[in-house]
Amino acid sequence: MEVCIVGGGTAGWMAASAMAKKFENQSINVTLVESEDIGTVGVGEATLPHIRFFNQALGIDEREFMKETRATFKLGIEFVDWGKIGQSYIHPFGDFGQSINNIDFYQAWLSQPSSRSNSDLSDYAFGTVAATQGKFQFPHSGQTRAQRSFGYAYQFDSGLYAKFLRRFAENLRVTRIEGKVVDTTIEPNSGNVTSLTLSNNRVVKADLFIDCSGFRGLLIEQALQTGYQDWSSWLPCNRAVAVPCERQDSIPPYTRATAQEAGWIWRIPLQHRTGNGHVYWSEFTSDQDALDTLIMQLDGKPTAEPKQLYFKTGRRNAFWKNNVIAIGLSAGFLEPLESTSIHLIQEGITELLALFPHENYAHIDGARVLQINELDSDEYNQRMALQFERIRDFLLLHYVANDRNDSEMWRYFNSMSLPGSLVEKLHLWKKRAYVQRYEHGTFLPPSWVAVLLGQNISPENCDPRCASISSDEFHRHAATIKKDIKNAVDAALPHEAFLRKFGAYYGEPV
Amino acid sequence: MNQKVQRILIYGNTIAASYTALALDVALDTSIDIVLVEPKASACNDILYGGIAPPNFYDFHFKLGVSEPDLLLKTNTGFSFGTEYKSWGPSLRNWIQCYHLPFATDHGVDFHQLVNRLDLNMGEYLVSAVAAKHGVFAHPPTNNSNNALSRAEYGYHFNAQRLKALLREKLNHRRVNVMQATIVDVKTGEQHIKEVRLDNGSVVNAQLFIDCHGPDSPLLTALAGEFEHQHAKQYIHHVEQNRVIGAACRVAQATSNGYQVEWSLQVERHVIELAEQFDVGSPKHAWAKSITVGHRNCAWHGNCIGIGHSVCVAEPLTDAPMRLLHADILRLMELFPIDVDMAVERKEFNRRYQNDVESSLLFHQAFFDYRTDGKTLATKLDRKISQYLHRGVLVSFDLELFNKEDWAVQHAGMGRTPMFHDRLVDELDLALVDEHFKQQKAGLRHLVSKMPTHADYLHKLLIYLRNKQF
Repeated sequence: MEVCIVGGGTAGWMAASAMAKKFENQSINVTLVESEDIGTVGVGEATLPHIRFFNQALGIDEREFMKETRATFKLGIEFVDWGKIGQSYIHPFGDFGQSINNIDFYQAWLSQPSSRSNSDLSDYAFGTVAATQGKFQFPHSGQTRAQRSFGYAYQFDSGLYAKFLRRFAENLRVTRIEGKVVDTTIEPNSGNVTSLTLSNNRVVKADLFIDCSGFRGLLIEQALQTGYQDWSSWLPCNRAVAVPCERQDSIPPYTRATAQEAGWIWRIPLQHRTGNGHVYWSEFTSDQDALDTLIMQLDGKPTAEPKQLYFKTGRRNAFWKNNVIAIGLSAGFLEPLESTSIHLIQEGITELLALFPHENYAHIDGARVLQINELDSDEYNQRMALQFERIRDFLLLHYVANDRNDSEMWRYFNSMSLPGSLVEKLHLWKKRAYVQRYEHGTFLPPSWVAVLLGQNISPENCDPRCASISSDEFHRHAATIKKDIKNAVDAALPHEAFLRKFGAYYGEPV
Repeated sequence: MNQKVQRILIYGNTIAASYTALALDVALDTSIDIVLVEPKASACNDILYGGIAPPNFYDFHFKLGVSEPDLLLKTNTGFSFGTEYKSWGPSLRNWIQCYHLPFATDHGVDFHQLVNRLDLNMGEYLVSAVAAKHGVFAHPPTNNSNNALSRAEYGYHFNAQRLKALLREKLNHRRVNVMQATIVDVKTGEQHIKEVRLDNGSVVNAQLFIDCHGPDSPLLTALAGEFEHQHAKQYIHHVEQNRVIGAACRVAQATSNGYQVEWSLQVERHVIELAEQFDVGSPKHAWAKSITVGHRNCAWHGNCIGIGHSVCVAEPLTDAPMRLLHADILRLMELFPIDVDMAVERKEFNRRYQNDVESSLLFHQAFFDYRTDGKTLATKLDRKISQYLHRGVLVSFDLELFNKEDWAVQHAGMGRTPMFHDRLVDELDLALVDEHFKQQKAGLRHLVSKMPTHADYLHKLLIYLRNKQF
């Protein structure tokens, strides 16, 4: 089977690498078409812990990958000024404490007034304590459960990640074609895209196309006109300006998202620089003001010209249509507040591998046309739609669960009508600190707890079962966890020292 | 501030009532009164729990203060690796729907995909199924993951009356106030129960009522009428004395107008036969009892929650009845109302209840779905079966009662053969994988050949437990 990937950014090369590796021994030829004239957006420099499984599945060495992409470790995201101006919290990868009498630790903590006044729930999450002290260690080094109950991800240069994967994929016989797509040919009976015409008149034929062309959706939208679900009414930020700056003296093992009057600013510390960007709603600030706000908050001197991005949050009506599968920004866009851009690429690739079509061809007018079974595309579309929708609700939570009322944007969120699914979740939380669970989705209950409590959404009550836990019992339990975490963090190395010792620092031998 | 729930009234003389009372006693602060109103007549419907409790009952019992030795010594209980289906469906399929930890993957490829690709009999590679088939049993080791038996899980076969008696005995040592009485009147207003009048003349009120009485569910019926979904069936239950306990699995097989399930306990063997209707004039028709199988749309109305058969009578073909009962109680614990304004909890409870009932129905219905060519995606069941028949995809929905392993075993058992396989399978050296499977099969056979029979194991375990007691 001939597979053609259109677009060579992070999504394109991740898809190429995964297909080349996972179908290494099958007659599936992967070609990637990209043009050096078209820049890549390079979103998603920060990631979620799931990326480690992607790299592991490809057999990528962690040290080599980190060196090549100037990666740092990431224990969570610090949210500044989201609940209230002047306040911050960390959403860590991992749980808070350990359950007590089968009751979630956070519930027991909420039920103890003395705990709430004397400690913070984040004292019971290794990721948060280590992050605030700028330290890192691997979860498997932990001696106790409290010391192991966390995850980690990476912050890396996504452009370098794409280059790293390009080498990886080309070593696995992925063919790269330099060229700009100027036309597509569609077979009228099946609706399949059969070939691309490049600006140098070269024609690239394939049976299956993966559209990684970015926001414009060259195949999924421009050619197949799939349609787009506009989620701007819920997530109205529609522009971003990004600029890198010199790195800080010490490298924080976490990403920072600072709320602004008309959006928010990201800060992603890498080994060699810090990535920064301002996501904003153009209704309430100009491009120049957004840039000025960003420049004013940089930790160091800018090291490149600002890059302007325009987007509309939402998703395609279908991610897989006929013989085209959209992965990455061509599939949809959700602002990178929780580092989900690369994660959604990974999800798209994982589902595609699981549902990859079989060689079933029709011959129409002498041309070979891949027959797509709707069972495959339907399953793919359902799974991806659920992922997008659940992440959307979680992102929206950050904007609506707070006390901010100090600008037009925040007032808009105060008065907006929320998706029913989110309204229900908030009611349950406010009444009794209950987090509605789901199985298929990226963010588990501890993430919801981190954001809700971090943004001062205090529940009126907690689980009534907490009344059966005595104050002494709780304090003994909590003190043990706190001590375990403190001991582990005390013994951990500062982040940069850990990177060097691990052998992941660029330019240094192991 | 709304009034807190200070008194709960549980009504029923059933397994569900005892489990609920024990669970609330363990979970709630002692300042809350728990009253169990127990009618004299014990509900005969408890037999419809099917005599099988899935593996999560070990933990559940433990949390309630009911130990495995208690169960074994006092209730005639036996161990269970699952249910064997014999001569099932038009193709007369045989397989063991066994309990098992999540299946291992090989180079990222799911176990069931490899089994399908190599056209193997899945049951020959699942330790609990192999052990059950050979009539042997031993506790899976928890500290030796290299031992193949550690992948097995087990549940229990039980006698409903004896189990209830044990649970009731436990209640004697708790703060639950048990009243032997029958409710003769339920006073309602504004979609809530105000109070109930008992046949001894007393009137009891509470902020929360829990109906565990069974399908007639007098409390819920007073608020919301009868089951919205119901279907009349007949059943016969008989018990025979056992000299020696049989295999650690139930046996289910089709009959001319339904099916029968049998399970073996320490000293007796139970058989329950279900039919739409036994042939009129036949002895079975004369012996049969009528039941209503079905469920309510909502399990929580006003200030009254239904648990167990009061809200859903699932057929005992699978262990769904006990899974549902466990899910009911877990849901109640997690959503026990903060105060008398229960709207938020009620809505979430009913959402989860509907999800649980739907998922148990899907699994049950799939036993009667013999299609071999799946193309439609109209319903959730269509989607599950069509996707499996197409390429072995295990479609799963949020938080189902039956997990992917359960579905994989059922699909394989029913003889559902995917038209295509996962493409990742073709990356593996199938000769090597095949060899690995052969070794695994031989290893399992060797393992079970060294295991004691279920009867011997239980016999020695009981002697040990009795000696330990004294």
